[in-house]
Amino acid sequence: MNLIQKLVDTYDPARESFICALKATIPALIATAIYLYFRRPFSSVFFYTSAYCLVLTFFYPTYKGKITVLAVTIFLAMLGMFTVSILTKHIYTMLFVLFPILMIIFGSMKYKYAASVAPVFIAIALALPTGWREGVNRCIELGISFAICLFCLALYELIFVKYRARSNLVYISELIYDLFFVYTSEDKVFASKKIRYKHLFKKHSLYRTDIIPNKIFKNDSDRFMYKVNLVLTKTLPVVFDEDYIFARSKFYIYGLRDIFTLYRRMYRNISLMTNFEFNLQKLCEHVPLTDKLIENIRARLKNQNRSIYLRQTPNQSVRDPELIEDWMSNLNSFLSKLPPEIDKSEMEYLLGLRYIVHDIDALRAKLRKIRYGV
Amino acid sequence: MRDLYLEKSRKFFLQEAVCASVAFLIAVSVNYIFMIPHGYWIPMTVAVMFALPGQGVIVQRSVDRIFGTVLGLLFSFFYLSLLAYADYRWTYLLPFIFFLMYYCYYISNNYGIMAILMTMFVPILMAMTSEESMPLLPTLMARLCNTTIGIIIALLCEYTIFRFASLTSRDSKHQTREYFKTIGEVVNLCNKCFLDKKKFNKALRADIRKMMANLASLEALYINIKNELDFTESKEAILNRFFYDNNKIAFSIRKILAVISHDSIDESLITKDEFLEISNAISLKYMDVIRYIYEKSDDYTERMATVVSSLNNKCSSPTFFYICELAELNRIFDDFINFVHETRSSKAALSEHYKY
Repeated sequence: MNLIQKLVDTYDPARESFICALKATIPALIATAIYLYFRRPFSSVFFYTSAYCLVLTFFYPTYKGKITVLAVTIFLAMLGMFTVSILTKHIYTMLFVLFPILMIIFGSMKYKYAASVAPVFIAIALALPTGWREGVNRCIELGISFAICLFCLALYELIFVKYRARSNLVYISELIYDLFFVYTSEDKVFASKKIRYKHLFKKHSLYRTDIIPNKIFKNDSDRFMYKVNLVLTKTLPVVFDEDYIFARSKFYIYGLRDIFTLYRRMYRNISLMTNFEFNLQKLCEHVPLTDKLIENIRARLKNQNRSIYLRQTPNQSVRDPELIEDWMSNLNSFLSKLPPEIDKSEMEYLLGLRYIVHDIDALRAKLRKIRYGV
Repeated sequence: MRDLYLEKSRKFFLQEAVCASVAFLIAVSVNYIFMIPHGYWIPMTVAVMFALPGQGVIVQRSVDRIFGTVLGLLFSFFYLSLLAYADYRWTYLLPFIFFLMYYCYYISNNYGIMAILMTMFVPILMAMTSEESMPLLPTLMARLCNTTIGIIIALLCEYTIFRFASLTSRDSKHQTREYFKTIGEVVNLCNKCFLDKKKFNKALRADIRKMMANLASLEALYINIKNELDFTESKEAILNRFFYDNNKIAFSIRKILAVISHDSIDESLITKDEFLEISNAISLKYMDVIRYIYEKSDDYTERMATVVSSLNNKCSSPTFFYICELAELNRIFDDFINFVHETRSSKAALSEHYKY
């Protein structure tokens, strides 16, 4: 059990793949239940038409796009399957009629995803019973599959939206902590072993998309940064692009948008800290209390992660207003009389740290406003 | 204005559609002429091969499918003959296999793994729904043979009918151009926000998302480019360099975004007009990438170096960092363009060498 948990945490930390797989399985199960109840006139193709068609909707963020691609795919598959059913005894006529249908399927640029399943259904129809009645039966099957898909689309919004957004948020919050931890540690190798998502440092062979970072980056920290960026990019559509029809989902997602934005801002702030060869002693000499501030930010980020995960207001506040105030005044006095040999990357690091202090407060205010009820 | 890329894409898309349709019909004809048992698997394989076609994708998918079919048939044979025939209740695991198939696919983005589970799924489904009992081993062998025939038909058609129609190099060029253009737009909008002391606007958010989408499509294209007919090492070198530089560009853009989210221009460092002049020049440079790739060379590095060195004693200000990032963006762009020119000239020199 522990191993499965570890594997899932490594390969699917935001549970995105789990949800997608479940989304594809549910229509197949509904179709199987209908098949077992009625048996005739359904064929075995009915088991998976709805599941395969529903997978196409993953490529479209809006309901309009999803329903249109479903309708186009089902219609074209219906046309092809019906042709095969009635013309199976007249092979030349069938080939002649199928060609324009296939040209429409493969040649449509706008609905190119239809081409990934409609021809497969047409091919399977070659093995099914033939004739006018059977042709009509195939059309009925596809019609029911379309209805199942529509039902599932609505169902998924009710079931999965909260879970999806929340798991993404938990994942991002943990990643930001990891990233901050790595860039505020002197020994990067040691830090990479201490963080939760340490696998992002390693080269994977299972992920095809890992080919690029593995080829291009020689440095593990850069690879890690790149992969975190990929994660953040993937989570964007969930809260910003996809549209929702139920008021409940809209209310929930709109409430989360600012929190996602603040985490993205923190990620950008950490980008400012990456050029500096981390040297805590030097930083503390220039701006006293930097070490304590870093410790405090780490504790605050960890506390926030825990509270988001548990949906609870933290028992005790880790924020130290005095420390922040003192550090800010130290920073200002350092900036007012800059030494001539000051390193640009160090200044960039301090700027990033200042922005993080600002944004972590904004994030805290936002989370407190919704009482950590994400 | 006419979009030449779109017009050409339409033409190539239609050519590829002709190729895919002909391949499918050949597969149907083979099934009818030779009366092959379970012959519908041939056109089905062709259909899967040509789903969202790209030459590199088809080649990669062929390898994955053969590998997946062999392994899937082995698993399926053991599952059915050892477990399911002993106790039919083992077939209740069918939905779980279906779930696992998708789960593994979404986790790994690897068609080979999906093919293993899909191949396992089909014979089990057939055993469950078929009214008359089917001999297991011949069915599995038929699956393997028909899949292989389907793959051969798909590859033959791909390499003979309009064989250059599904190359991804056009798309990768287009996406690269779009990516650079979007970067230019992002820089332009950031400049406006920084000058007007405004936070992110809708257009900037949309552009940032577009930038990420372009990059994602380029990554998808990159993975398959190696299996294409017109693949050359210089092309791969340019793409590798692009991704390497792109990471630096993204870093700089991120830093600029971090600065504009918190601060605005410090006019004691640089006047608004001067800032606008240099920032617009860099943004235009990115938007006009094609002209630089074909003829124009660097024209702004010295100017940027002068601006940055004049501000060197004011490195505590966010405006200084903003300008440094603009200079960095300028440098990366120039380096990339120089690299493209060098690779091109060495390629031309190489072809000249072989000519004589």
